[in-house]
Amino acid sequence: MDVILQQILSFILLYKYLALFGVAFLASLALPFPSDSAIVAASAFAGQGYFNIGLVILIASLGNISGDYIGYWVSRIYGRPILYKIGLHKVLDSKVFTWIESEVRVHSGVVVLLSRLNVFVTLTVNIVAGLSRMSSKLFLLYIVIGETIQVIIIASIGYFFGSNWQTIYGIFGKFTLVLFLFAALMFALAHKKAMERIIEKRQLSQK
Amino acid sequence: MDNKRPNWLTGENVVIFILIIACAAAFWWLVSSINFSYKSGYFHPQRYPREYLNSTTTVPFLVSDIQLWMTFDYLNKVFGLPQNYLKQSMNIQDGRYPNLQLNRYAELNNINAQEFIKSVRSAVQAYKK
Repeated sequence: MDVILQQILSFILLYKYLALFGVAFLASLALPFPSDSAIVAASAFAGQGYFNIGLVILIASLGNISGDYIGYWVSRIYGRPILYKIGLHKVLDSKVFTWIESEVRVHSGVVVLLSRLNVFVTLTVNIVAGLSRMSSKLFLLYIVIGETIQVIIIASIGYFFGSNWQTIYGIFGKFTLVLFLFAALMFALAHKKAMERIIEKRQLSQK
Repeated sequence: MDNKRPNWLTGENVVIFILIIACAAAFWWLVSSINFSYKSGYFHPQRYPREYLNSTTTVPFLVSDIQLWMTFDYLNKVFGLPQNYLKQSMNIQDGRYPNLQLNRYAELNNINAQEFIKSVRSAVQAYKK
């Protein structure tokens, strides 16, 4: 177990639910905290009778949801001005980014819900959702559902597998990676097919 | 000589090809991890002594699982020790007991960490007997 995770687990044992909320919240704000590992470990502690598993799930979910929502608003209010200032306006104004924004708006539910399973995708989607000015109420609804499901899944790993949690959680992480790569592949194939249909329609209309 | 790029070698097709390779590699990595974990016994219920399988908690905890990052309060609760048992048996004077990490106590009292963890495990084992 790495040193940072050991420090965080000590912190959670000392300050209990408050520390768990803090770790989940800060990790959702893109700070480098191993939030998922901390939640799995806290659930293992609950399995040993030290915490209440219901409270672990509730507090961790609230931490994640709060961090995600604040990240969304920061991106929505300050995202574009900051990115323009540091010279990334070409990226924001590019066709690819415009397409990504439109896809996130059209498939917002699926994108936001599925992105909760992987921390890097979560942070990226939070930022893009803010930049694309997705409805804040819809975003909140999706993150409440998505984060609760995600926390329940990873908490159950800690609660039922106990001291094997690191191994089982590692396998779960690889499984979500496979899932995401597969989803990205399906997305790319669907986009390719859609573009081919558009080109075909244009060619037919020109004739 | 015709130096034109083939029609199929577009950016999109390259991305799809890379994603296919990445999917296959990630899946192979996943299956090999599951295989390794299974052979290492992580999915076998006999990993823990029989007495723990009837425990009211879902997660058995062994004396050998005690680590330096844990606190005295946590050990008291998971092993069902009286609040002051470790304080008296190990002569702990620190006012922060039991909300104190084992490694922090060892550091403050200039005790070798590995020796300290052995003495904690012995104290817990002595109570369980």
